Amino acid sequence: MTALLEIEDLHIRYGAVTALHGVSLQIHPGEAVALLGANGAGKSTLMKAVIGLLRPHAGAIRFDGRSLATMRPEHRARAGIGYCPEGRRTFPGLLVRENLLVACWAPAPERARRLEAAYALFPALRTKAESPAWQLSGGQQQMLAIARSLMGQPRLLLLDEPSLGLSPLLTDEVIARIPAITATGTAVLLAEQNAAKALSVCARAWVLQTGRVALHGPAADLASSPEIRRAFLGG
Amino acid sequence: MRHTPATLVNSLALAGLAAYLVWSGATQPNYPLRVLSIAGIYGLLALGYQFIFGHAGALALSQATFMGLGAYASGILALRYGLPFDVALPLSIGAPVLLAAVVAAPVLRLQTHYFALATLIISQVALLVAVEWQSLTGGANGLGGVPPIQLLGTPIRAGWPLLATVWGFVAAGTLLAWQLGRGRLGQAWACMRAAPAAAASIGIDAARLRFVAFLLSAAYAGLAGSLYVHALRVVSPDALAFPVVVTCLTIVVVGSRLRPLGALLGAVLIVQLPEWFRDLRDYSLLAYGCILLLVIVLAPAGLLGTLEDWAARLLPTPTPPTPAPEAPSPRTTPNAQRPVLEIRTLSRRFGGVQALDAVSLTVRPGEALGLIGPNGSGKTTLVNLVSGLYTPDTGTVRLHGTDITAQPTWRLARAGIARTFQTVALVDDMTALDNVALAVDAPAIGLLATLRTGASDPAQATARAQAAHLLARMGASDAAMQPAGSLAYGIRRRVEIARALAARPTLLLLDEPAAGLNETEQADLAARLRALLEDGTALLVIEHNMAFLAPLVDRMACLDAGRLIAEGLPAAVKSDPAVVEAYLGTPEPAPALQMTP
Amino acid sequence: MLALQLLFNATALGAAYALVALGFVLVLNATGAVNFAQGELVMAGGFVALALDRLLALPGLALLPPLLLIMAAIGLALALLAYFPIRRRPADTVFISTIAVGIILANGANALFGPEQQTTPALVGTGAWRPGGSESGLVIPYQSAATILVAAGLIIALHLVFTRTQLGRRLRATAQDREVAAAIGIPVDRMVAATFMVGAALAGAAGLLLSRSFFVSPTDGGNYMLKAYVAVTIGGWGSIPGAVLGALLIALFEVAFPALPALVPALGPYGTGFNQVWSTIVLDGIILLILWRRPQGLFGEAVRVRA
Repeated sequence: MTALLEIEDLHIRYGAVTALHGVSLQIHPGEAVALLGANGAGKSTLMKAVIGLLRPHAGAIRFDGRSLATMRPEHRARAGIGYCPEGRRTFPGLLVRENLLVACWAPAPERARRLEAAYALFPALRTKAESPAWQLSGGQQQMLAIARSLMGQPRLLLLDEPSLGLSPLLTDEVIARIPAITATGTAVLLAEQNAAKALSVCARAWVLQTGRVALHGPAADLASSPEIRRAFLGG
Repeated sequence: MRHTPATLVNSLALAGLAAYLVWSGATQPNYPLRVLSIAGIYGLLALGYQFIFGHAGALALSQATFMGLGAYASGILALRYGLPFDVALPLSIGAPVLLAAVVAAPVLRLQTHYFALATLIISQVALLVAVEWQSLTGGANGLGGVPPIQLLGTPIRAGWPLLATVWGFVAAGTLLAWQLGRGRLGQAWACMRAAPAAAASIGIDAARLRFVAFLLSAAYAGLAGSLYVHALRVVSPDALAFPVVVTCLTIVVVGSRLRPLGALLGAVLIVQLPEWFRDLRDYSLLAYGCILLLVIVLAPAGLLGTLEDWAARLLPTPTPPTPAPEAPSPRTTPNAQRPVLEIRTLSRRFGGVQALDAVSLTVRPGEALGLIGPNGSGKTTLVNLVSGLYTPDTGTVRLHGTDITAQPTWRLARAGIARTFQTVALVDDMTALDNVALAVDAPAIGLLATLRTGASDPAQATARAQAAHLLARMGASDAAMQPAGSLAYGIRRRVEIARALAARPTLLLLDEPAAGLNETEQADLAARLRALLEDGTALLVIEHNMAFLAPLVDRMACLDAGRLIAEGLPAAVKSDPAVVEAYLGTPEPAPALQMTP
Repeated sequence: MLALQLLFNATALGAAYALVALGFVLVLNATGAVNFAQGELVMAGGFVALALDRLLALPGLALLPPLLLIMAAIGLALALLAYFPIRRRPADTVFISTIAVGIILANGANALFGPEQQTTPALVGTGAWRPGGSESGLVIPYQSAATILVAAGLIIALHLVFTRTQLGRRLRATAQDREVAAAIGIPVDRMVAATFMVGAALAGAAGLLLSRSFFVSPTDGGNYMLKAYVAVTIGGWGSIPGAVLGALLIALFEVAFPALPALVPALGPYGTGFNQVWSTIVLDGIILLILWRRPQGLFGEAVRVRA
């Protein structure tokens, strides 16, 4: 099976700081993969590089066998990569409905259908459809951000720390939607600090530690590994 | 620092300008000399504008108002009271300075776009007053018959004497601007512009320095206005109309925002431009706008800055030797037996999020406390509350027993709290040494202190010696004479810590000092930080990296969702079940597909 | 009846100001930068109308569509020359580059049309409508009525585009978070360029509306610029409804101030003080007071949320 997303030896620098040192990973169509690590480990950096908000210093990113090097973020999004940023970043002045519509490039009837699908996935959004996004609670904003990133029917969803700032209950609720997303054939790359929760819904996982891959493998193996604790809390 | 490419460019430019002026004075008839004298006056105006726009970084649109006020003061004093130019000069300079001081209080603290608007409105009112108060100002036509410049009873003739007199004032103004801009005051302004939070963290009161810059700009404008009215022999509202501001802005943008010589070159160029393009008639001013736009887009450092950049690329830059290190005397604290820092039930809410919830912590002298917690747990909020960036909703912060809750950062810095930033905040085009030296006795930097110093500044020499010592302590001696922007990340971190130490803190707040460092660098940094504790400096360290933190600190505290969930010895905190859960999440799998309505 | 007449006059003036302020705030939101050439764009609109009139000799209203197109092209040129090359530099750089564009526009107009004040064609005709007959005293010039209708039409059309179309939603999304907008597929550079085009077109339309009654000359720009800047300050920096409200308030003040002695008999003895000069000085004083005491604008946080 060929990989949907293939990252090879990715290096990224912010000015003088090296944020990623040679990270490689692969995601296959329709699978959920966890990207774990404490903050500052490089998870968001990797996500931003895949969608094109950061330019790699070295290394390759291929989507569907095609190099993304010269593609601008908007073209990557239209090519089938959905991005749900860290900290949600919904458009505060747009209505919930508009936040969803704005991310959809299909003709009007199809747009209406996808809007329905988004409301079906997150029913809370339907009741708030005509409210501006800034009025939503943190959990609702997170759902909106995820739903927005699904409006283009991506083949790959980059989900950057959906648990940030949410209560454990809400985190569970958001993370519990991931199997429903992969069931539609969308692969998910889930960046999380909350290792246990992420591992419970993902098939495989990569663990980053200060910009390097510390370990990777099937989620079930990692969940019971003492290594993962060391990666987060040190020796 | 004698023969850098930049000084070479400036010397050549100065020689060229001087030669051009002498040649013009000797060979040219009165009209071109008059234009060149006006250029000198605009040079003075622009020198002043460099203080507020270049050094303080505030887009003031009121420079013409100050010039006009100086012009009217001098003109009216001459016509009504027969006061000659030189006798009236203190008043012609004093009037705009006074106006600047009065409007500064409400205006100077505004953000860029509002500051620009406020100064624009003030200029509009000034222009209206000049046009409408006819009994005093002569209205739209102004007042004619102003006598020529008179110095010690001698009237100055048109032609080369006028040129020499005006440019004599320009030379004096340039020298003063150079003296003010080159030393510690200039560096304090640079820090305030490039890294305002860092400037406050070493005790620089940005509001005061901006005020100084504003007054200086008004003083230069007053002098320029006074010369202008006696050179033109009339005073009219043109002197305070918006085109003067545009010309002044253009001169500084085209010449240089910071270099005094750039203001002069810009003035000579821009003021003479319409004369040179005379054949184009109506299109000459069009060319003017195009040149301004081109320079903004293509040469953001201005002509002089661009020349300096070229020279720096072509010629080798000698690195001056690092000054001999000298240890600073330690700070004596009145209440050495009290805890350094006492935080009591500190809370802060942002919108719907309780970022910090009744947290209490104590740091004792010579102790290192580590603060951990997952992303968004409130660590940075805590540091920002302690260092004065935010005000708490409830709770108190005490330093050596003194309540310091909600004090501005620069005051806290003076009281003994220094900090570093998550994203290193240094002034990139200053050397590492000067970045650190600036923090030595930064509160003493000011206008009067700078005026008192001669060719070399003993305070700067001492500061650099101490900075060299601190850089050595942090293991960054090799970087001392390099521009901070060119340094590797790990070194920048060390320079930043050295700068914090230069403020002689009793408490040092470190926000993720190990981020981006490799393991060798981390171990080295930890050892150097431990050495600081022996001098009695207390540390409060925020860090995710447990391997770095655990051996460094005496105690650890863990925040989660704004609350303190564990405190104690590092080993105990690390294995505390609540901490493990906060970091790794609940061991049970998430409940599948369950939705709360 | 006088009050009614004043209110009508203020609405006509305010409607035109609102277009200028709207163009200013749209560009501000999309780029985070002040477009200091906005006033010169109003002036340019007046001269473009003049040129079109000489070419086509049609009533003013018919000139509006070609005028909007030409102004949009000027807006695009402004974006390409003075914004895109320097968009990664500090915001005050754009402030200065647009001052340069303002100089170019003003002196270009001066070179092409001369420094005199000129007047543009009437929108629909030069007559006036007198509801209630001559004894009521209420006069509604066709020009003012058409000004209100054109401005209201443009504002409503803009509102519909912004709320009902995908393009409008994308323009708003771009203004609110450019990075995320790009990451969900929106071509942000094109959206920003489009915003400059809309901003310039609105300013140009205001130029056509204002230059009949108030004439147009190359040095008019600064005055209109200040109006837009002040309207946005009063309305709350970045607020679109605030900008419209602010523009209407400024116009109301400008129209009502000279008439105050007639409205309030007690002010009669000071009648001569209620002139243009004091109007400007008092308004300036109020703005400085707002900047000092209420920098968030008059309408508070609710309007401030960038919609």
